[in-house]
This record gives sequence, C-alpha cells and structure tokens, in this order.
Amino acid sequence: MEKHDVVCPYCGAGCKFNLLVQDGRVVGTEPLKGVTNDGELCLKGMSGYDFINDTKILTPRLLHPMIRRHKGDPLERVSWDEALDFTAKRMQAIIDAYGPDAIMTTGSSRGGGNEVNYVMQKFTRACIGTNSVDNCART
Amino acid sequence: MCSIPGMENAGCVFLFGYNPSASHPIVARRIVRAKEKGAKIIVADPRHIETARIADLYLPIKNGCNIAFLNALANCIVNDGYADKDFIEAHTNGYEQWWETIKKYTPESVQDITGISPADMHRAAEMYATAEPSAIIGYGMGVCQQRQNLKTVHTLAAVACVAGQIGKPNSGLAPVRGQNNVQGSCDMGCLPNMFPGYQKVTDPAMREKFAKAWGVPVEKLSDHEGYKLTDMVHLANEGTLHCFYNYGEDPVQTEPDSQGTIEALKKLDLFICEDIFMTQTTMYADVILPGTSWGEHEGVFTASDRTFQHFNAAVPPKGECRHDWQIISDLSTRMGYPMHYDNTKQIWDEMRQLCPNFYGATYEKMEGTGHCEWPIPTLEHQGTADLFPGGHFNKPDGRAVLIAHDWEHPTEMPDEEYPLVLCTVREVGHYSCRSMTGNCKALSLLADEPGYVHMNPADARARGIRDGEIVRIWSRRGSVYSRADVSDRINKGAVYMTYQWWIGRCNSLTLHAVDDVSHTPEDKFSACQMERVADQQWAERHVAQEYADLKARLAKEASAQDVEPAVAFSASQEPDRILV
Amino acid sequence: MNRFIAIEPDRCIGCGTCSSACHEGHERAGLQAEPRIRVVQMGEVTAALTCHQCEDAPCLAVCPVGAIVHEDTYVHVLEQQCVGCRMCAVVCPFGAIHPSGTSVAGVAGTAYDTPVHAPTLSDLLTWDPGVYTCAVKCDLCSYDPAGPHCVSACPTKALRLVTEEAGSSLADAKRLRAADAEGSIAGFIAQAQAAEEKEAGGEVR
Repeated sequence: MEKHDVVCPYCGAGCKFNLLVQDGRVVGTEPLKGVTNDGELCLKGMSGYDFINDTKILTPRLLHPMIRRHKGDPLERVSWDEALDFTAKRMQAIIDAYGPDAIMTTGSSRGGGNEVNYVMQKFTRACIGTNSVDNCART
Repeated sequence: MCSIPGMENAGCVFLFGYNPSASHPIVARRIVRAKEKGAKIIVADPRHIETARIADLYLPIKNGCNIAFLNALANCIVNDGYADKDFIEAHTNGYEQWWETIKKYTPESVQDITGISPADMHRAAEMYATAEPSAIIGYGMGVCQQRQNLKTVHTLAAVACVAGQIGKPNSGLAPVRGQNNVQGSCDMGCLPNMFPGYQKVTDPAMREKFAKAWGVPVEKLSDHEGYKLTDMVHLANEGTLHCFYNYGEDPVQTEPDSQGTIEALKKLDLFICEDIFMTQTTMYADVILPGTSWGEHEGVFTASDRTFQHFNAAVPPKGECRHDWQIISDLSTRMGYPMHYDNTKQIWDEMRQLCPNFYGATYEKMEGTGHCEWPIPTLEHQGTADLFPGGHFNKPDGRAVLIAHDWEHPTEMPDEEYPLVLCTVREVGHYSCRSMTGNCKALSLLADEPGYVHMNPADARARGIRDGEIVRIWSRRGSVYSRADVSDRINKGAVYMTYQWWIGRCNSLTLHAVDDVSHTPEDKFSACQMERVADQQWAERHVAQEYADLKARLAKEASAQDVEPAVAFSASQEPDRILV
Repeated sequence: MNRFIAIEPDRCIGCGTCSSACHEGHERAGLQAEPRIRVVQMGEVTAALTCHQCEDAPCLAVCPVGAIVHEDTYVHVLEQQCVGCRMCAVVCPFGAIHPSGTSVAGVAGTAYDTPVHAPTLSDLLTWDPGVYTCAVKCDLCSYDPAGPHCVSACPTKALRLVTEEAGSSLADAKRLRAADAEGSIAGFIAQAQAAEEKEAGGEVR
C-alpha cells in the first residue's frame, strides 16, 4: 500500500495525514503528527477521502472540457485545444469591447492550493489587466 | 493572533461567535485540553454550543448584539479597574476618543440588546482581563457574517489592547477560518486590493515591482482596486460585468439569495467554471474546464494561524483533468501573455521572491510534517507563532489605534410577518457546498437532505412542530423545506440552518445585505417564518423527489462529457445513426 | 468480566468522529456498515452511547435463533444468523442495538438511496424493499486486534475501553481517593491513576 502525506482540505485547522492508496484508489487515511493536529483527526479528515474516487453519490466528477457554443445550447465535450481557444477568443472579445474590468475571476479557498491562487491572480492582473480577483473569504 | 497549538497554554479562552466543535473539532480539542490545564473558558453565543458545557461562564447573548456586548465588556474592564494602563500608555493611540464612545455603554444600558445581566458582564470582564499568563479571544463567522463585521473586529482588537491581553505569547485574537485555504488565497493576492503578500495594488512602488517581475509594462497592471466577489450579482445585473471566471467556488449554494445569483449568472456573456464536480453553479457555465482534485495534485495550504504546509499528490489525475495552474497558464499563453511552469515549486519560488513576509518558507522546510508560520522573512527564520511581539503593531509608530463604534441594529429586524431570526451555521460532518463531503460514503450516511432547521422547543410548540418533522421556512426571498431539530440548546426566537443542504437550502432565504467596507454578507441575521407541513407523508415524498430530480439534472448535464467529440461529429454527419 | 466502552462526557465535543470510524471499520471488515455508536446531545449532556455488553444481556436472552452469543468478553451478533425480528431492539434498556440493513445504493447502478418511508419513522417499524434487515450493535471491533476503532479515533480521548484489569485499577484508585481524607497518600493515587490510564490505552496526563 502506498502512503502520501497531505494537508486536510476541510477546514482552517491544517491537519496532516497520509492518504492510503491501493491499485490507484484512495482507500483510507492515517493521521500524522502535524503541528496543529498532533496525531488526531476529526471525521471529515478521517472519512472525507473517497470523493476523489468519483463515487457519484451526490454529483459526478468533471473529466473532460465542455462548452456551450451559444448561450442556452446544450453542453458539448470538446478537446482541450478547442475549449481553451474558444475561451481565449471570447475573453479577448470582451476585453476589446468593454475593457478588462468587465471580467472577474476567483481564486479558490478550497482544494487547489496557494500556487494555483498565485497563478490565477497573476493571470488576472498581468494578462487580463484588472484587479477583480477575489475569493470566498467574504462568505 | 496566536497559533492553534498555543491555545491550550492560555489562561483564559474567550469564544465569541465561534462554535469550534462543529466547525473545527481539532481546535475544539485544544480548548478541552486548555480547560484540563486549568484555563478559564468563557463562551458568548446565542446557542448553548458544545463548548458552553465546559465553560466557566456561559453568556447567552441575543442575536445581532455584538458591538453592544463588546462595548459593555470594555466599559466593565475599564470601570472595574482591570484596564492595563501601562500597555495602553506604551502601545496604543486614541484611548481618550475611544473612551468617549465606550463610556456610554454600561452593561445596564444595553442589557435589552445583549440579554446579559450586568453581574455576568462584570464577571466576564474580570475573568478575561485578569487571566494569567494570557487570554485569547477565539472568533469565527459569528463576528464576520454580520452587518457591522469589520467594526466588530476593531472593537475586539481594542478590548484585547485595553486589557493588555495581546502582544505576548498565546494571547490576542484567534480568528479561525472556515475553509481550509481562505488564509492562503488571501496570502496569494486573490483579493481585489492586494498583490500577493498583502502589498497594495494602489501603491505605485508595488505596481512597479510586480510589473517588472512579471515582464509587463507598468500600465498593464490596473491602478485601481477591483470588484469584490459579493458584488458579482449586481454588477452582472447592471451590465458592468460580462465575464465571470469561477475557479473552485459554488456561489449558487454558498452565497446569499441563491435565486438572485442564478439570474445574474444567466445574464453574463461568458461564464467559465473550472471545477472538479458538476455543481449547481457549474451547470450554468458556458465553458467547463476540469481541474485536478485534492489528492491528485501537490501544493501548499495556509492554515488559519498563518501556517504554510505542503501536501502531495496521491493518485494520478482522472480522465482528461489537468492541474489548475496548467490550465490557467495555457489559457494565458493563448491570450498573448505566455506563462509556463514545470511544477508547483517553480510557482512557489517565484512567489517567495516577491513577498518579503513569505520568503523563508521553502518547500524543503515543509517536507513531511514540516511547516512555516509566516512572517518568515529569511531562509534561516523559524517562523512566527505570535504576531505583535512585545506589543509592537503594524503601524508606522508601532502603536495600535483604539477604535470604537456605536452599535447598529441588523438590517432586517424580525416583525409580525417574519418573527424569527434566521442564522446560518455549520454541520460537523460536511463542508462548504458539500460537493466533496457529500460524495463520501461515510459522511453522507451520517446526515442527509433536506438538512435540519434547529429551533427552541417553545417556538416548535407554538407552531405544532414535532422533532424530526418536515417544516416549511420562508422569508422575503424564498421558501424551502427542511427537517425540524428541536433542542433546548437553541435560543427562543431564532432558528439555525446549516448551509450545506441543497434542498433545505438556507441561502434561498438569506438576505443579500453586505457590510459597507468588507462586503461580507450578513448571513447570521435575517428574518423568517416557519410552519409545520400538514401532510407529512407528502412532504417526505416531495423532498426526496426534489433531491432525486436535482441530482439527476446534475448527472444529465455532466453526461455530455461521456460523448467523445469525434462521435458527436460523426453522429451529426449521419442523421440516421442512433446514439445510445 | 465483559469489556465495554466508557465515555467521559466532559471531554466529548459531539463531533461524531467515533460514528464515522465505526462505520468505516465495519464496512471494511464486510460487516453491516451502520455505525454502532451514536452521539446524543441534549441540554447539558453530550455523550456517545453504545452497547454496555451486559453480563446478563436481554438481547441475547430473547433472540429466538441464537444469533446473539456471549463470546469471551463481549456479546456478539452473528449477522449471517440474524433473521431481523427486532426483538433484541425492543428489549435493550439502552437503545444500543437496532435493526439495520445495507441499502442497494452504490451497487447495481443505483447511485443513491430512494427512501420509501419517513426518516422520522422508528427504525423498529421500517422496511425497505430489497434490503435485508439485521441487528447491529457494538462488537468492540473484535475483528481487529488493534481494538475498538472509536477509541483510537476520538480526537479528545473521551472514549476508553474498560477491561477487567483497567476496571479494577480504576476501582482501586477510587478507593484510595475515598480513603485519602488528609491528602497523605496523594502519591499513591497519582501512581494508580497513571497505571490505570496506561492500561486503558489513553495518554498519561
């Protein structure tokens, strides 16, 4: 069984534990002596791992890029190239028509991590040219 | 501003608008330990929360009284002779002006607002201000999600300063964050007024620095603050905002007034969602970009006490999922600003170079159970557990400014038609919009739709509601069904709903009123009414059906991804071919 | 003497981690996944409640098919033998044994439960199509030599496994405390307590 150390994604306490992996599936957890949790976990840290395996209990994982070619069209699976070109073109058109402040982006205060948040705000500021990037700290 | 482990070494822990047992069991454990080590515990909360059971003093405050309560507490600290005159003299400014406001707030004068007897207020002042060696005020969303939230934080800080319970180990304020990386997304500059490391976007020197580091002309970086997330709805409605790029958030579920949010999202020219699940927000997106999940990527989180910790990937990405930083970099490149990174460490190191307070937090230090509590300015630095050591504050003269505010009543007061206060709270077994925990078998078993509305037995009796029955709750914004949880731990006149539930969705009821500075919505206070549903069998079937329908809709929207692009193409070329 | 799980209510924060650990452990062992320990919260009391492993267990006495047996130091439900008659649940004085069944959700393409009765209905009266009812109660995780999962999972160490040895040292400590009117044997008490905690598997404080 493989073990990979992680930080719990469920609250601001920052508990460290191992994810136990068998045959490419996460099958359990094991607390570590992290600075805040000191070898303990609550139920979310202990039992909150199987969503990664796409259990579909509540809602399915997203596995492929999808777009709506026009407002109100059904979603359509496309290649990454097509999805990103479509997005880039549409965003650029909005910047050209209304200026960069017509676009707002968000970081994520959840599972992504600080590096993604850094990249997102850099993209928003240096590429789009607006400071309208926020996160859910307000809610 | 102390660390989480430090909490158990304080002489007094004062919990104000914070329910650690439900929000953070691992922090609650530190408080149980503090109690066993001899600390006094004070709990001020409208509900008789778990920690109130072990409290030395429990103050059942009324909903929406925060500033009135804290002003009266400060009034007692000063009038009863517990003010730390030396600390005030040496480390603060503005005491005289502060006292002008505070002196009016005797505990008697605000007893109708706070519901706390003067005797208890005096006891609380003594217990908190005289605690040795230190006292901590732990606060949570009970402070932040109120109309006067920022002002309440000013008031709390002033209370700590006047009592001299700040600027020494294990003291001061301990705001505990709800989501795991709220601190981190703020640290990284996902704020409309700050670059990474809390460097102001309006400061020309900072713009210069970041423009140079990012290789863009300084004019490219906007010189004014951006819009806040809570402004998204009205900006979309008035036509100012045309594109919303939503990364890993579910505003339909988590922001107030869900229906209003949905209408606004539909008005956008372009709505992009980068997420791991099909959520109630993602289903309205024009573009869906599948990112990798926690467990499939590595990175750094910041805990509420400013602790950076590194986490690893455990399993490979599913399907065509890509790391979020790869998606954003690729998009940026296609839009004419090339970004490329080989791994997260490169991103982290670029960030460290630009943020003096984070510079010493290297990946190497965070290996295994290693951690870096910022400020950590140099490579040799070991990190900082307590902010403001020796009472030195982040002001040019190093002194804290005491600020007092007058209490104002919440925006929507209960009336005859809507006589109950609706307050939104947390469920211990679930998290945020529930897309993660709701997909975990063990957690979904422990509690499920349509969630619960917690109420006092008297309010239940008056409406003929029995424990476990389905009730209808409505406000000026909407109406939902949820299950009654009748408990004498709940104060009379208020009901509490957790914001994890999709059918019993409290945000269909909440008011979208925000604090004028922070723009945080007033989720802790709005007016509502409820009634027992007469036909309980119908109600049970109805909520089960609604839930099944919603899940089926999400599954149907997501099922578009099961059709490969080539198949869809050939199908459109051959009209007689039947797709299964 | 039977072993059993004891709780210190002052340490319980009502977080439900015990229930979650119970569920996971039993599911993994191929037993009924229903948690056998429940958190009860009312007024001033919060406590996790589970089977007391009674010496003269009423559930065992009424079981018509011999599906409840007295093992070495605990009372055990043989899940394969249970016929789901619910008699045990009716007679249990602590509400610690109850009927349950594994729903078909998660297998055969059914992603989630489709309830056919109100959750408010007593579990003594419920019945779901396709679900075999079986009595569940605490078995002290006897399938795992590491001991009860709830005890090791509890983040505040509010739960402990009481064994014959730990029970007697606990009684010894209490007798010493009662005898110690003048505080003259405080040292002995501390020693006895430390020994007791060590045996109970808790940390020495």
